[in-house]
Amino acid sequence: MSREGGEKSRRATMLIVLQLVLLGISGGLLAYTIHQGQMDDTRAIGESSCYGCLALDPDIEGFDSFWTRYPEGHQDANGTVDHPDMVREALKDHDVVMLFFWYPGCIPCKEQWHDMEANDLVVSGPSDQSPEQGGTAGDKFADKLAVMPLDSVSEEDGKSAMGIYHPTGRKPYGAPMTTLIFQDAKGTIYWYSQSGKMPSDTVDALIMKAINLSHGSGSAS
Amino acid sequence: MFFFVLANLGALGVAMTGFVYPFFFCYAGPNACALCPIGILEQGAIGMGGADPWHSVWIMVYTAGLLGLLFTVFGRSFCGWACPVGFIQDLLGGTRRDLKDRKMLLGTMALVGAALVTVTWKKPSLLPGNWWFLAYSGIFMLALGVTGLLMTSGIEKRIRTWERGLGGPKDRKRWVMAGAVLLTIGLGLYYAMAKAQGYGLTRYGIPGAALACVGLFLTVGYALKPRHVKYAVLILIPITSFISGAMLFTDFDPIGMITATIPALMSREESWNYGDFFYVKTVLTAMFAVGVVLSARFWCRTLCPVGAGMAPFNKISILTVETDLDTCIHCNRCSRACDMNARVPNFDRDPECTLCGDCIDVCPEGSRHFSVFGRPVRTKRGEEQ
Repeated sequence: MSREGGEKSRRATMLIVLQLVLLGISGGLLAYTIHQGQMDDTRAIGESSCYGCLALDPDIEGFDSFWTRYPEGHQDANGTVDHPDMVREALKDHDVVMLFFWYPGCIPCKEQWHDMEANDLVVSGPSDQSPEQGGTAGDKFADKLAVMPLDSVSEEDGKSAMGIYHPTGRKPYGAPMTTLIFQDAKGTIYWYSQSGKMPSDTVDALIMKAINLSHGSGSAS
Repeated sequence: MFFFVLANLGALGVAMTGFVYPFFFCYAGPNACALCPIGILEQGAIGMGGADPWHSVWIMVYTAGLLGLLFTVFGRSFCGWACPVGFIQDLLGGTRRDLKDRKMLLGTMALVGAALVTVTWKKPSLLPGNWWFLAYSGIFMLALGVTGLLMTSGIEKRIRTWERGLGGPKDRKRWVMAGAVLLTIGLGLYYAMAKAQGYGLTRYGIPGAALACVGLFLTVGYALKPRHVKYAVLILIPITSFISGAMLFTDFDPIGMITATIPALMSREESWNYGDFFYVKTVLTAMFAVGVVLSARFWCRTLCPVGAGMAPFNKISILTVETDLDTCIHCNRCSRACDMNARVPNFDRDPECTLCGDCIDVCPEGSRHFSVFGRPVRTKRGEEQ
C-alpha cells in the first residue's frame, strides 16, 4: 500500500511508539486526576457562572424582605433552610453574618469587595491577588458584623454554602453573591441573598436594617 | 461535517459536566455543558497566584490529560469537525466559496437585518423573545451585510496577500517597530491603570489593553506571519491572567460573545444589564464577523488559541490526512479547496490542517486520504476511483 523503505518505516514505527507513549501519559494523568476528584473541581468552576466573562451584569431586583424559608422563585420555594454550623456559630457572637461568595479571577467580586472596603464594611486579607481571602469585618459595624468571604469554586464550605443560600437554587450559580443572615430575639433565623454585584451603600443599608431587626422581636420585613 | 457540528450543538442543554470542550466554547453560556479550555487556562493561572495553587495545578493537569488524549488521537480535527465557532465561520463564507453565493448570503443578511430593525423600531410586540436583542442582532446583520457587499473581491485579495506576510522587508520592519511601540505603551498604560485601581481589568484598563493587543498583532504578524499570532495569544493568556488576576483574554474575545453572551441575552429567564466590556466585545465581534466574511476561517488561522494548542498535535496525531504521491497529479485542487491555507498536497501533517476532509472530497485521483497509525483509510469515493 505504501512504499517500503528502511528509513521511512523506521520513522513510522518511531511515530507509533511516540503516539502510544503520549496516549499512555495523558491517559494516566487523566485517570489519576479523575481518581483524585479533579473532575468535580473542574465542574465547580463551570457551575459558578462568570458574569465578568459574559460582559453582562445581572439585573438586581432589589430587596423586598428578609426570608425565613426559601423565597418564591427558588426551586424549593417555602422549603426550610439548613443553615450550616459555621453560620450558627457566628450568630452567637454577632448580630449579623455576611457571607460574601467570590472566586479567584472574578472581577465583579473584586469590584464589590473594594467598594465595600472603601466604605469600611470589610477589611482585606493578606493576599494582593485575592483580597477577599481571609477578609474580615471593617470598622463601621465592628463586632456587630461577622464577615465570611467564601471561595465558591475551590473551598468546600463555599461550594456547599453557595448551594444553600443561592436565591434560586438553580445552577449555574453566579458570583459575587452577598448573603446576610441574622437571628431575632425569638431565635428565628432570617436571611437574604443577592446574586450579582451589589453596590456597597445597598449592602450598608441592609446590614443596618438587619442589625436593627436582630435587636427587636417580631416580623422582619 | 455538518452532522458532527449539529451533534455538538444539539448536545447543549445537558447539565454541567466536569468535561472540558476540545474546542472553543464559553462555559458561562446558559446551555454550556462542559468547560472551555481557555477558561480553565485562565482560571488556573489566576488560581496559581492565590492561596491554594495546587488546586489549580491539578485542574490543569486533569485538563491536559483529557485534551492530550483527545488531541493525540484526533489531531486538530476538532477545529474542522466539532467546533461551533468553525461552523459559524463556514456559514459566514470566506474567500474559497463562490463569490456569487456569498453575495447572496450577505444580501439576505442585510435584508433580514433591515427587516428586524424596522419591525423592532415600529412594532416591538410582533417579535418573540427579547426584542432589544433582536434589534441588536438586526443592526449587526445589517452592518455586516452592507460591509460585506461593499467590500468586493479586491479587498479580499489584499487581505490574503497581507496574510501571507508580505509587505516588503522594509515595510515589515517599520510595522514591527510600530507594533512594539504600541505594545509597550499599551502595557504600560494598562499596568498603571490596574495598579491605580488595585485590581485586574476594568473599563479604565481598556484603552491600554486594546493598544497592547493591536501592538502584539502587528509585531508578531509582521515579524513572523499572521498565522503565528495565535501561538503568541496562547502563550500570553496564562501570563496575563497570572499577572493581572483577571481573565484578560476573555474580557476581549468575541467567542465568549458569540457562544455565551448572545445566548444569555436570548434566554428570557434572566434579565441583564450591560457590563463594562459589553460594547468592547460587540465591536470585536463585529470585527470577527467581517474578518470571517472577507477571509475564510480568519479566526482559526490567525487568532484562535485553542487551535494553537491543538496545532502541534497534528505532527504526531494518530488520525491524519496524507497524500499518496504516486497517484497525485498535482492539480492543486486540494490547495484551492483548503480554507486553512494548509500546505497541500506536498506537505503532510501541516499544523494548520484541521482534517476537515475538503481536500479529500475534491481530489480527482483519490490521492488524499485519512490515515490511522500510518495506514490509509480510504473513503468509498476514493475506492471507486
